[in-house]
This record gives sequence, C-alpha cells and structure tokens, in this order.
Amino acid sequence: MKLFLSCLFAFAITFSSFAQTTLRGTVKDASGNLVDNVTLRVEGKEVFATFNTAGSFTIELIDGYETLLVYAKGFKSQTIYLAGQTQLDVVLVKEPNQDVVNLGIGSQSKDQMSGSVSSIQSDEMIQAPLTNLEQANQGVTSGLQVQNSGGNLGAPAVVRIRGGSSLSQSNAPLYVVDGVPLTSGSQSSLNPNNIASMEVLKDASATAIYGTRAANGVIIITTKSGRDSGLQVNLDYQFGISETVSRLDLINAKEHRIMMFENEIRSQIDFIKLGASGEVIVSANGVEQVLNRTFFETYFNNPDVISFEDSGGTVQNIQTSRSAFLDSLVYDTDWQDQIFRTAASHKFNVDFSGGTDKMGYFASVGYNTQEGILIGNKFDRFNGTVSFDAELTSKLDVGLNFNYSNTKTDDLQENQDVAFPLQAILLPPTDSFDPTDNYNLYVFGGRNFYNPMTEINFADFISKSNSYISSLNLNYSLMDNLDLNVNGGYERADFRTDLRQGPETLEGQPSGNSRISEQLFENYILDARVSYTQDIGGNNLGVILGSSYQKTVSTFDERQAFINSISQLETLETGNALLNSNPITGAANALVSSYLRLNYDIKNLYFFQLSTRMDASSKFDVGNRVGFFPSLSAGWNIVNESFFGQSSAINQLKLRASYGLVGNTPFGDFLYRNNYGIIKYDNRDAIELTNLGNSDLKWETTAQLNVGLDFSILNQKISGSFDYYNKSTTDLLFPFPVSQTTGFSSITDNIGSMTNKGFEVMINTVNVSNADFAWTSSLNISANKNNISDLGGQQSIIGVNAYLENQPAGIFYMRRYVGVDPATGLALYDDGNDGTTTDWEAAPRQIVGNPNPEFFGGLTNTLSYKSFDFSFLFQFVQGVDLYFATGEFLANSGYNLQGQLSSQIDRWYAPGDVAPNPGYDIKQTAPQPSSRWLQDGSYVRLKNVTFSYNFPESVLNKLNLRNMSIYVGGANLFTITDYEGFDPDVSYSDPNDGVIGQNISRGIDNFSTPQSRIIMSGIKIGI
Amino acid sequence: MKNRISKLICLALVITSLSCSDLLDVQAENSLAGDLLTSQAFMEKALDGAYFNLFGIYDGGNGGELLGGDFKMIATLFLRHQTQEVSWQSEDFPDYLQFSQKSVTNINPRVEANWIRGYETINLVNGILESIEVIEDQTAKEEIQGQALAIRGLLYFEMVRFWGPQYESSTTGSPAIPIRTKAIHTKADIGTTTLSSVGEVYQRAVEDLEQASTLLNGKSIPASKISYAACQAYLGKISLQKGGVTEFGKAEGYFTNAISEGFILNASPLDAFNNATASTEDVLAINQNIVSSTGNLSSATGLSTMFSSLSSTGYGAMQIVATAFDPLQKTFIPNNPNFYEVDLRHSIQSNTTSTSSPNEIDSAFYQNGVRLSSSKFLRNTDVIPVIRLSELYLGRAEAIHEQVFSSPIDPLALSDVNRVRTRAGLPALLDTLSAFEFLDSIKVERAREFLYEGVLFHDLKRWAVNDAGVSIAFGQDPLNSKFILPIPQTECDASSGLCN
Repeated sequence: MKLFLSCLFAFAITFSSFAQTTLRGTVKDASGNLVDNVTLRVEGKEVFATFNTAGSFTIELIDGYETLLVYAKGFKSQTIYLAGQTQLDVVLVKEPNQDVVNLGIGSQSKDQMSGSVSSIQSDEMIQAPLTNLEQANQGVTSGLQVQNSGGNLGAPAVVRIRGGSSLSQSNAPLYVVDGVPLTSGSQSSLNPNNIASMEVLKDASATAIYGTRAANGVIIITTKSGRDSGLQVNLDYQFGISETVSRLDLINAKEHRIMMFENEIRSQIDFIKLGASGEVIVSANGVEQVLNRTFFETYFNNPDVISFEDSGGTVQNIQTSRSAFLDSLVYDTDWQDQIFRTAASHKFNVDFSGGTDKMGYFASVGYNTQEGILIGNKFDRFNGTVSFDAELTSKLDVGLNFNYSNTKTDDLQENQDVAFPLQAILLPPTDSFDPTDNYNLYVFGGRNFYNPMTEINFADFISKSNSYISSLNLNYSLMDNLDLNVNGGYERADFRTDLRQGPETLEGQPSGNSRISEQLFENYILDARVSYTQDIGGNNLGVILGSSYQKTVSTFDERQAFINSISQLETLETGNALLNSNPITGAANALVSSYLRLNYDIKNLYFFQLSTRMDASSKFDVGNRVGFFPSLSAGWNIVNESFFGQSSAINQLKLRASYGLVGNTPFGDFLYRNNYGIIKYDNRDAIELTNLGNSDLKWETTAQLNVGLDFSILNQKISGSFDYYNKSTTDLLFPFPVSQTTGFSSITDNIGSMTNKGFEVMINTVNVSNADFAWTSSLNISANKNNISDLGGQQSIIGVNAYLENQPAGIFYMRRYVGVDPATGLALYDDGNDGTTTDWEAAPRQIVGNPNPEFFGGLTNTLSYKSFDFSFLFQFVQGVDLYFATGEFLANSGYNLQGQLSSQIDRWYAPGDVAPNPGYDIKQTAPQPSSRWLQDGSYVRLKNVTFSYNFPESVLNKLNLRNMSIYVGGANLFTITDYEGFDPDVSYSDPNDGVIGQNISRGIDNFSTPQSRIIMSGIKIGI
Repeated sequence: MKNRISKLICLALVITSLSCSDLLDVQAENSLAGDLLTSQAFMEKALDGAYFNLFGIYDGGNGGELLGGDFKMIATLFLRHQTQEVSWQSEDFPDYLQFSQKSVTNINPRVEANWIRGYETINLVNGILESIEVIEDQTAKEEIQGQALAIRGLLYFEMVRFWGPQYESSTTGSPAIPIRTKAIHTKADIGTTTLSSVGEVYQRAVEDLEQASTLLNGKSIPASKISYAACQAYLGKISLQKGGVTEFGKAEGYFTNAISEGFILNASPLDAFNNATASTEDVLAINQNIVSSTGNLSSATGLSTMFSSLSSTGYGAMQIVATAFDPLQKTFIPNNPNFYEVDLRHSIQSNTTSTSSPNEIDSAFYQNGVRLSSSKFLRNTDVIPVIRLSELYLGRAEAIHEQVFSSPIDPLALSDVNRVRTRAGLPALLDTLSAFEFLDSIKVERAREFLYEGVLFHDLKRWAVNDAGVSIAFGQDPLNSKFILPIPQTECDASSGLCN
C-alpha cells in the first residue's frame, strides 16, 4: 500500500514543455533517510519533480533560477531559491506535530494527545466490493466492534465502541462527516473510496466535547480533498463474484421420506403391544418387529403391510394411509440450490483532484452494483462528491464539501416472514413447486408450507435512498495565533420503501397489497469557534471556545391500499376509500451547545487537557435541558524526560489518563410531555394519548476512566498502545413498568446503572524493511465486560435474551436443555432443583450463555516485494455464545414435517436409545426454545486478501500514466468455527421490538443470510 | 489582545445564552401534545379515539380486542368441549389456544392486550369527563359526556365479567379489578393501584350507565355509537347478570325502554350479519372499513381473520370439523343449540371452496373441504354487531318469566321469544308450555341465536348460580375459577401488592 502511494506521487506528471535545464537531487530527512511522498514544484507554475524508484528526483527548469517549493507530510515545507545549480540535496525538518489527529473540533498531534483515539487511514480500509462504511472497518482497529446483521445487501451493521452504554436507547456511535454530526444514518452509504481518514474517539476526554450524544463514542470522518498538484485522475474498476460462505448439511429426499414414514406411523398408532423393555411391537407383512430406526429405514419405501393392535386388541392395517401420502413424495429438491446463487458485482469509481498551494479540489463519481447471494436481493449505489478549499486571502480559508449518494435495494420483507427466501431451507426436499401454479408446492402446499419463490415472483420490496451531506467551513485568522472558525452543515436524506404483494402471495390475496413508506430527514448545524495558541515560556497553551446549534427534523409518510400496483397507489387521492393513509407524527429536536477545550503542554513532556461542553437539548423539559459534560486528561511523554537520555531503542513512551462525563439522550423527542396520536374510526379523525409524560426525564450519564500507554521501540519497528477503561452509566433511560390501568405498560424514566470495563491492545510491527521487500503487521485486540449493576429491581426479557441485574446486557436466559430421556425420547430440561423434567413449560429459565464476546480483534499483514503487494486480514471474535434460532425449526428432530439438518437423523427412535437428539414428537406444537440451540459462536475469519501488481515506471511512461495496478483478492475466504449455522457473524433482532429490542436481542441467528465469500479483481489507473 | 479574546468569549456566550430558549422550541410534523382537550372539536376527536380502542380497531400493533373481537372470541373458546368442535389453528394463532384448553396463564398475550386496552379506553374517557366543561353547546356536551360515561360503565361491566367471579351474594365483596375514575397523564398521576370488589365494580357500571342514559335520552345517536337504547340494553344485561327478582324486574324495564327506541328485526337472522352498515336490528354495532378495521390478513387480528376460512379474508382458525353426520344437530356445538333442520341459523352451504368469495355465502355455515365455518364474520369491512334487538327480546322474555315463573306463559314473554323463533323459520311456542320448559326454550334459543357472539359464556355463569346442573364445555362448572381471566403478570409486577 505504501508503495502504491509512493508511485502515485513519484510519477506525478509534469506539464512543462519548455524544459531547458534539468535539476537532479534527493530529499532526505535529518537522519539522512529518503523522504517519501514529497511534492517538489516550481512556485507559481504547474511544474513538478518526478522521482525515480531509487528516490532521486529530476525537475525540468527554464533557467535554473526559479523558486522551488518542497512539501512532504509530517515535515516543514521549504522554499528554495535556486541559483543555477543542477544538483540539489534537500534536507527536510520534521514538523513537531506529526501525525495530526482530527478530533472533529480541533485537531492535535498524536504526540501530544492524552485521550484515546484510534485512526484509520483510507488505505487501511478493506478493498472488498460493496461493503458499507461500517463493514469496511471490521477487525481494523481496537475498541470498535462491528457485527453484521447478516449478509443481506443493504442490511446495516451493528457498531459498538467499548460496548453499549445504554439499555433502551441507541448504542450507535455519533458519526461526524466533515464537521456535520449525522442524524440519519447516512454514513452507511458513503463511498469508502472517498474517505481520507477516520478517527474513532473512545474515551471521555476525546468525546466530552460532543456532550449529550457521545456516550457511545464518536467517529470522525474526513473526506478526501486535493492540494498542490496538477490535475490527477484516478480510475478504479472492480469485478467480483460472490457465493455463500457455507451451506448446511440438510437431509435429502430419501431421508425426509423416512422421516415422513415415521410421522405416519407415530401419528396413526395407539401403540398397545409392547416388548419386554417397553419397545413398541408392530407387524410388517405379518412378522413382528420392534419399532426402531432399522424398522423405519427398512420399510419406508416398500409396499409392506404394516399393522398393529389397537387398544381394543383389533389388528389395524395402516397400509392405505401410508401409501396415499408417502407415494406423493416423488420429488427430490435441493432447496439451497433454489435460493443461493453465484452473484456478480461491479464497482466503478473515478476521481479528479488537484490544486495549487492556495487551493485544492476533489471530485468523484462512483457506481456500485451487486447481486445478493440469495435470490431476490440486489443493491445499487451511486456516489458523487465534490470538495473545494481555498486560501482566499492570507487570513481567510474556505472549504466546501458535498457528498451525495443514491442507493436502491431489492429485497424481500424482513427475515421473520415465512416469505423470506432463506426459509426455503425448511421446505421438504421430497416436494417441489409448480411455476405455472404460482410456484405453489405440489405436496405440502396445503399444510401451511409456503414457497418463498412465490414471493420472489409476485412481490417487490424496494428501498431507495438519497442522501446529501454538505458543509461549508470558513477559517479566519484574526492573529497569528488566533483563529475564528465557522462551520455550517446541512444533511438531508430521504428514504422510500415500496412494498407490493401480488394477489398470488400469502399476504397479498385477494386483490394485492401495496404500501409506500417515506421518510425525510433534515439536519442543520452551525458551529462557530475561536482557537488560540500561545507559547508561554516554552510551554504551549491551546484554547478552543465555541458554540453550536443543531436541529434535526424528520417527517414520515405512509400510504397503503389493497391493490396490486405501486403506481396506482401513487395516484390515489386523499379521500379515496381504498387509500389508507394516516398522518404520522414526525420527529424534531434541537441542541444548543457551547464548549471549551484547554490544552497545555509543558516542555513537550507533560500534557493536560480540559474539555467541557454544555448542551441544552429540546428532548427534555425546561428544567432538565442543560447538561454539563466535563473531562480532564493528562499525558506524560516519558521518552522526553532528561533522565531517559537519548536511546534509539525506545522512540516513544507516553502514559496518559483521562476521566470525564458524556451523555445519551432518549430516542424519542418529546417523552417529557404527553403526546397524542392521530387515528381514524369510522372515517373520522380521532386522537389518543400515546405516552405518559415524565417531566423529570434527563440524559443518561456515562463516566469514563481511561488509562493508556503509547510506545514505539527499536527504531519504530514495534509500536503500539494499551488502553484500559472503565465506563459507568447511570440514570439509564429505561421503559419502567407502570400499572397498566394507566393505559400504558411503561413510562420512560431514568433508572439503574451499567458498567463496561475493558482493555484494548494495538501493536504495529515492521517485520522486514529493505529495498525490495517489506513486511508489516498490525494486531488489535479488544475485550469488554458489561454488567447491569442496577435495574430498579426490574428485568426485561425479549425472546431468549434478557436484561437482568448483575448480569451482562442481553444475557441468554432460557430453559437449559440437558439431553434426551432414553425411555421416552423426549427432550430433558433442567428443572432448577438439580433434577430434570420433560415438561418444557415447567422448567425455569436460567442463565445459559453470554452473547457478548470476551474479546475480538484483527490481524493485518502487508507484504511487498518489488512491484508486488500482498495483504491479508484475519478478523476474530472469541468467547461468545450464539443462539441458532433457525435450529428451533431446522434442527428439531423433524419438527413440523420440515426439512432438517442431517445431524437430526441421529435421534431417539426406541426406548433404550442413547441419542444426541430427542425423538420425533408428533405432539410438539411449538418450537420450545432452549439451550439445545445455544452454541459457541467464536470464529476466526480470513476477512480479506489482496494481491496486487504495480506496473513499473517503464510501462507507465509509455502509457503516459501516473500509476497503474491490477489486483486480485478475496473476502471471507475461510472461517474457523464450531458454529453449526451458516455464519457466526450475525445479529438478528425483530424490527417490531424497536430500539430496546435491537439492544437486547444479541447473538441471534434467525434465518440470517450468511456473508458472501467474494473473489474479486480490479484495476486502478492514475493519470 | 487579551481584550479581544475576552470579547470573543463574551460574544460566544451571549449568542448561546440568548438564543437558547427560542432555538430549542422545535415542533414535529403532525405532532399533538399538551393539554388538547380544550375545545369541542378535540373532545369529539378524543371520544372517537375512545371508540377506536373500545372497538379494538387495529392500531399497527394490536387489534381485535374488547368489543371488536376478543370478548366474543374468548367467551366462545371457553365453551369448546372437544377438539373437532373448534379446530383451532394453534401453530398460527397459539395465543388463543389456552382459552379452549381452559388453562389461561397470566402471561397470555391476549389477556394482557385486552387488559391494557380496556384501561387505555377508560383513561381516555376519564380525560374527556374531566374536561367536559370546555364544551359550551349544551346538547353536544350532554352527548359527549353521556357516551364517555357509557363507555366507562359498559367496560367495567364487561371487564368484571371476565376478570372477576360471577356476581352473587357470596362474591360481591370479592376483589375483582381496579377502578380508575381519574385521568392519568403523567408519572405523578399514577398513584397506587388497588382492586375493587365485584359489587363496587357493578355499582360503578350501573351508575355510569344510568347517568349516561339520562344524558342521552332523546338524543339521536347512530348504532355505531352508544345511544340511550344501548345504555338501557347494557343496564338490562347487567341486571340479568346479577339475577334475583328485583334485578329481573329492572331488566324488564331497561329492555322495554331499549326496545321502544324503534329497532326492527331483520326478515331473516342471516340478514343481521355481513352488512356494510348497521342493520335495523343493531342496537350497538362496530363500523369497519378498509382503513379502520379490527384487523386483516397481514395483521392477523380480528374476528373475520379468525372465523373466515375463505382465503381472501381469513385463516379459518375457528372451525368445526365436519363429520359424516350433521354436527350441528348433535351435541357438538357449545351447549347444544339443538338446531332443527328448518332453522335458518343452521343452514349449511356445501358448494364452497377456500377461494370462494364472501359474496357467494348465503347460509349460516359453509363447508370448506372437511371443515365447517360460521358465516357470521366474513369480512373485515362489515359491521360487527355488539347488541342486536333479538338479545333485547330474549332478555326481556327471560326477565319477565323469571319474575312470574308460571304457566300459562306470560303473553309478552312468549311473543318476545316467538319473534326470534319464527323469523328463524321455527314454529311459534304455545303458552301451554310449563314454566321450566319455557325457561329451557329461552336458554336454547339464546344458544342458537347468539352462537359465537360471546353471550352464552356469561349466561352459563349466571344460570349456574341457582342451578347446579348447568355445565360448560361438557360437564365443567361455569363458576370454576379457571373461567376467570388472570390479572396479567406484568400488571402484578408493576403494581406491588395487587395480586397477593
């Protein structure tokens, strides 16, 4: 990657055609090492130096008396007045503030930081086809947990920084794009190609300046801009092929027939004749047999006369009924073949950048189209970006950013629906479907089995979005050390979902069903601040004082009619009897804030930072609006201590600590007061109370302590950081149960507290570094321990997850499955008294597992040899339990006649069988969730591999290109896991459960689409 | 320079503090908040909001509760005595299974949904009653106040019938359900929740409905809302439920008042159902249309969704398994309506399939494969009758007959029963019947006429008070506590001491 960047700069094209003198030379740092990524140009002219691979430059001059400008990142720029020489060795001096970290509000050198921030540079982001921004960062940096909600294209990922700080409110970090704090979730549709850098602010000292919204961390995104070069054009095309990461081992048609035979026998017979040890005796062709696995496997397909004695002692023949049903099972369908496909993707991106030392510009357009690995799923995205910045006068800088994206997702309704394609894996392999009869099943259609193919062919579920993020930034230098910065931002996002269900579908009959749902978000921000720096006797003081105003407004609209056409629905006028369209309450909130940050460093040795923010939020009643969020941090640059001396073994050693408060506001806008909803009865508008007001409501407060150490040793060959944190959230916003005689079941209130403690390790190593070969590694590991310390004596249970006091949030709480009763074949559950019971309902729920991982992380390796680059990323999650909810149906010993995992064949058949799975139970009427389907969800995954070739200078010169590379790669190539489902990287929550459901439902695999395994290749060209 | 900095700091602070209060004053689109009940227009909307909930209109999450469905569904399922009689689709609608199994847990979602929606409705009308003085027009004020009181009264009656023991001298002091007569708007209004006794709840219901009757008498109110007649009908029902000679006397008067409001029996009992608007015999009926209904196929709520086995309108969860013999004449149906062949309410249509249109159904039952379905609730766009004129006639007949209990039969009681019988195609009864025979005729007639309408379950409880021979669901005691709905676990958890 580094090499790629060198090439990019090294072969910068000159436009000069009047060259008369050639100046040659090198650019080195104070230690005599060549400096990479240098820009060397003639002042006032579009004339640039070119560098050869050995690091020497040449630049064509007119007379050799020009003025040269030399820039390189991390170094002080130089102006050199030439005096006719032809050889020049430039020595650049390092900027003291190298590695500047953008803190959203202000920036700071990495050296002087005392907070906990991790940075991701654009070239560290994954080069997979369609990943959204969140997914691109999985495994890349510490403290950032990214969990996919499934491999469905367009599905969001769950992002958590240092665990979730809230139980019932959003746990998503705050995203700030070019100074605009987002409210609509548009970060997902940003084009990762356009991002210059991302900073993940983790501790309170870094986030406190974002106040009430910073409890879950802040992610600062800076998009690319241009500067100091002629017009540069980058072209990028990628083609990918994806398929499912895995398939399940399902029973085949023969095995399903055996199961159906068992079902017939067990449902018909009032077994009366028993053998000596309780085994059931039946007759086949007049010969007495024990009813066991061998019996079913022997007689399932033969026209034998099966008979038994009923309770009256009469011999009953079940030949007829068996034949009628079993003989209809003539099909052999692999449903996974029907729903999975090999899918193609294309990604195209072109960007233009350039500028002078006084201005820069960047513009790009990108288009991405990808088919899902499941039928019916497709995603398209278009991105456009423009950024411009200029130094208008010596005092006034202006910057303008504009990001646009348009997405379109073709999908089917949410996973729980029986219509979701993945649920076809439950369909009996002995059945098939008739395309001329609405894809209905031949045999099982009448038994409430539904073929998703019907849905694929007769329904549409299309989501579209347009989002715009724009910002205008003015910086005015009042004095040398005093700047005024005004930043205005506007974000707008509109989302539209069209649902059409034809009359052929389950929910669309008899006349079809169409629904259009629209949402519009608008978000305005105005931020003004002054920043001041002062040298006080060798010590530096920095002050930032600012205030901001942000307002977010969203409106919703929904129209529905039982018709089979979206376009017809669009034309239905208000008042039309078919049209169902009630006004929906919108959302609006505002935040007025002022903030202050003081930095003071003493002799580049001790650093102190105080930052505070005062927020006033419209989400609370007048008396509770203002929140105060202070933080304090300190750093000690031990390596700069005189007692440390000059050692090349230790290049950096810094200890830092911070403590501070941040907040979280409720999701709802006006929970402090009574609100009414508009409803309709008998064609008249009506109103009803929709909540109980709570004027005492206030924000959740999270106090966070962070202690960290940054180091760099052995000539920076090994560097990294350790962080320990302890977050404690109090005044948790929680729907506290109230008497339902109020008409409501809960009221949002501040109760309880929760802690998140953990550590993070990040280590970067330069393993080999010489002229031809370089190898670097980067490892990050994060561990977080969550505990609900107080919940006001309440508990909250959704499905198999729960909030319980003194337990991690979302702990698995269900019946404990302990095996199979050898006598009856029924499932055994822990009865809570050291015994077992076959009565599922009587068994108490217990804590059986934890969906929160013990630790997770990633390991990146980058190797380069001459013109070849090779990089790969392993991503891992360990010590986590997953609930294979799909198994309630698919691995339930034949439950409901459905298709099954092959493992279920190994079940109980006859008394005495010691079997790993309970027997076929015709009386079971519900799936009966239990720890039977709780599994270890740990995994290690080869997340990404890229192998690229950079074309040599000779080729580039011939083609007149700045750079060119081709690459092949793969994503999710293999996964090491014991998990039985498709993919351990899943997280399902029922959309009907709302925000609290999303928080509590962790580690659930409920027919979640697996991730794609992707093979891709692409080309990048720089002109 | 320091000066300039301090000026800037001041400026920033001033801007912030000055703008603070105004800038935070944001409003969301279509949002209604605060004290809304300050005008007649909003009071009318609030009353419609109460009807919306009383009638169990689907609101995106819930639907089919209270009068709009579950008061009929739960009562019907409690009567079931064998699996063929009501073949419940437990896989798709497991929440209702417990009622037919007579084993209802306190975490049953339908029990909780009805409990909360009942009190939500009561809270809405309490809010209306507290603000009633904002209405200046006297007639409008009386109409709104009367309906709000009636809603509260009838709900307390309906809820105490389900969540409390049958009213009798030994139970009037038994704890039943909480009474709320003050509106709750905020956390501070909640207070503690306690159970009132059966007697207190009945008294509350009677007082509310009596006051409502006074306010609504002489007002013209359609059947889709609660009129004077509906109040009187409910008062009559309450009196019947309480039993005893005094109450039967009151019941006779209430029913007579309601009957004289001008309702007319339809020519055929089948005409009383599947009407787009209320029929002439509807005293109280829920209007449904495509936009506001108790549920549809995708919400999977509402009576028609459960009863209809026509794939265009329902899932047919509530069905009778047809056997070789005619199940309707045998002791299959709850408490034995003993239909005669000629009874229109017994007519079976056998030429239907699951794809037949509701318009093709013109009988009381239709056969769909091996199953029989009732045709009372075919579409979610039709009226759901709550009280029909025939209930007033049969109620009055019983009230009169219980007072005199003699033969020859009182002519008014006899003619009330015969009105219902003859329009169903049955021969008129003669006044020579014995007092016991006539009482049995009334009971059987109620079973035939109100099958699936949630009437019989409560009848069996009141009849069982004085007749140990009355049984429910084949030999079980109607007064057994398993027929009393439990207070939801969530309510017990939130209101400490309520369920001890």
